[in-house]
Amino acid sequence: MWSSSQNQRSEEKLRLILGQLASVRVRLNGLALQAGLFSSLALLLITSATIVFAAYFLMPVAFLAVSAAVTIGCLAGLFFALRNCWRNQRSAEHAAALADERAGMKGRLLTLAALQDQPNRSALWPYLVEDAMLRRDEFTPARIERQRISRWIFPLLASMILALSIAPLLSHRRGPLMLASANHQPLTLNLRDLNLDSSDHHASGNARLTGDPATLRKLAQMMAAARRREQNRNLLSKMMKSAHSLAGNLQDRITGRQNPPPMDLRLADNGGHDQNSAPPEDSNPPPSASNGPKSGDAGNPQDAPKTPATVPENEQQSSTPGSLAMQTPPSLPRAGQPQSGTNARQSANQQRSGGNDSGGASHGGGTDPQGLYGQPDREQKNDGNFQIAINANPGQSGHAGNHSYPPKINAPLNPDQHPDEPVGRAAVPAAERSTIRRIFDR
Amino acid sequence: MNAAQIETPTVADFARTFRRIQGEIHKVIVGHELAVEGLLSALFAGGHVLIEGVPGTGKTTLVKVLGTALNLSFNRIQFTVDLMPADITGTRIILTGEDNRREFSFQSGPIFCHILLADEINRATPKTQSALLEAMAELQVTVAGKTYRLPPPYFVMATLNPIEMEGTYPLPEAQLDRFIFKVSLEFPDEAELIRIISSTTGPEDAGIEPIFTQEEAAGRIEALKRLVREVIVAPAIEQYAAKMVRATQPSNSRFTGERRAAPADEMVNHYVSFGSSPRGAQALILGAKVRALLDGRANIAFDDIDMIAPLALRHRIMLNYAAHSDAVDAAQVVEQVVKSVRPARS
Repeated sequence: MWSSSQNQRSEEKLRLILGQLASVRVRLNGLALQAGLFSSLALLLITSATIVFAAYFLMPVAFLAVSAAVTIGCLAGLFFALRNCWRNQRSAEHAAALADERAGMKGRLLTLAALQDQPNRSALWPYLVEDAMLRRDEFTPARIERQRISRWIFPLLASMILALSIAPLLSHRRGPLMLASANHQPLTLNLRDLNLDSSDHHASGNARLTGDPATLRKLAQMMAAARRREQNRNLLSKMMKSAHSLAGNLQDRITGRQNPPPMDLRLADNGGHDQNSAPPEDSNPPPSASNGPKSGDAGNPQDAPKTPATVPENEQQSSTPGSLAMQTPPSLPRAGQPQSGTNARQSANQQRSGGNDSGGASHGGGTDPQGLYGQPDREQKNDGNFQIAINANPGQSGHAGNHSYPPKINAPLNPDQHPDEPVGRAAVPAAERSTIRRIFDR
Repeated sequence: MNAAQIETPTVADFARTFRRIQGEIHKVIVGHELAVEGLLSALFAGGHVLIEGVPGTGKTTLVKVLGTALNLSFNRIQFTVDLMPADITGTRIILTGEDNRREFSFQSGPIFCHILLADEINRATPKTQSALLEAMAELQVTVAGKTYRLPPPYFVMATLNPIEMEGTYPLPEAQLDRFIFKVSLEFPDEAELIRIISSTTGPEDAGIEPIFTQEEAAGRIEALKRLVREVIVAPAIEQYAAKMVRATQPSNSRFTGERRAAPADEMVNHYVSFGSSPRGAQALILGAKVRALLDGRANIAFDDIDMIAPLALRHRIMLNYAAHSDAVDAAQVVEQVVKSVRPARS
């Protein structure tokens, strides 16, 4: 029989063993927590770096797709990291079992941890305590788990280095889009070169248009036609447009891109009938020569607008969906009905900022025919100038270093001139002529 | 010497005694280390053992040597087709007393001993085989409405001959289940055979020294059996043993009903018609306790369960025809079950 003093000593030894097991458990759980924390941070860092990188270097839709994919991956990774962290949290018994396994204690620690509170102990319990006490050096925390810092610190460090390494790369890409020419001389656009399209309602105006009343009237007709096209647009196209706008706004927010001052554009009508023009369908009077600034929106990216232009942030105002991107001054009431938009596509490709091929909400253009000319009583007070947002998506061609291009001039050929027919002029074998023509036609 | 006078053995005493008995047995029995260890484990776990082996592998010799080493009473019954239950348990016969009065008197059968060898048990009819059931399970015999206690320790070792199956009666599952372990005596390899020849064909007999005196033998063995029961088992290990036994049941077993475990291993589902009974779990824990004591521990480890599983479970698993046609035996199934349950260790 064991005396009370022997029992007391046995209890003290049991406390020592259990205390050492608690240390083991703390270390194991600490490592699990570190692993969860480090892996989560590494994931967040990599995800953030990827999104920022994409915001600077990718087109809006590509940016949106990459960001969504990376975010989903990040969320899944976070889920698994936190789940592993939770699963790797050891109870006292689990820690004892692990210590048993790693120290070759053959179930001694598990048995002690599990049955420590059992009132009716076996006659062999003191033997078990003594046996475990003699092997106490075999299950010290350092022997059970040598690491103090989780190995997940390395992925975290790597992700930090990666994030830091792209920072200087991004600084080279920073800066507003430069749309206007370097000397800020107003550009003259032929109305026939304008490909009008409605913009989303988040975009702001980024150009000031001037022109004679007839030209502006024709512009209004073209915008009305664009509005009708917008109303007939299918759902997928509208969704793509919204996605484009959202991606652009996100990119602008991430890159901190400041909109450049509105560029001055002079509209001129060189004659001919533009495909966008249509008779005005509303009862608004035609624009007078004194139009005030109007609200502007970004255009549809799917239509590959080619004229980049931006409007200052403080001039951004919301408008109804499907509205044109004309910019309305705060003093003027905005029209609440649908509007049509404007994009100067041909000119955009020549005037886009060559070094920056990213998109954004500031790249949009459009004009609101309802609010373009303001209230009837104010129209007479306007000076013929207004602002227009022109979609500024990068085109497929162009030179990277140029900030602006002269507008394309479509002049009719004189009798001595002939259209360029490279195939016709070239000495091409007759057998391959059709193939080459097909390539050129394509 | 009764049990109260015998000093409680320690863990070290158990291991030392066990090894001494092993040593005495191996003076005669060449090889078969695992079988001898299983046999002794069954003895100290308080169960009975089924020994399977081809003729001439030393089954009967092993049991006789054990009886001699333990210095316990030992009987041997050769089971035959015409053996009757009364031939085993004993019967009431009419005896004439000194006063010429005739009265029934119980003449005890060979079952009344400490160690019983039921040689070639599968040659007797099921009726005779079942005569052993009560003795093995409850350590008592009932004859003509009167119950007689068997002297502890009571240890039945039955042998099975896996060949010459004609005219044999396979043991019913209920009786198989009462054997805690099934031990196989493998055919000896060449070196072992040479040692058997040299040790059994010479003029000298191997001198087996009893470990205990006749008076204390029963008491000492009973004390060691009580010590086995004192070995501590963590709940996680009990759970592991329970999982292992449940894993022997196929998923489509109609006997487990709604209480079946998680889907069983594919091999179990394919080859097992019925798995181990709950006695299998008891056998796992008791055998593991003996192993723990032999290792100088007062607690069971997961490895003890794994090690004892083949001995404790293979005769409790009923294989189907697919297993027989594919030449799959119960040992392979148990091995697969152990592998499938191993991840359940906490």
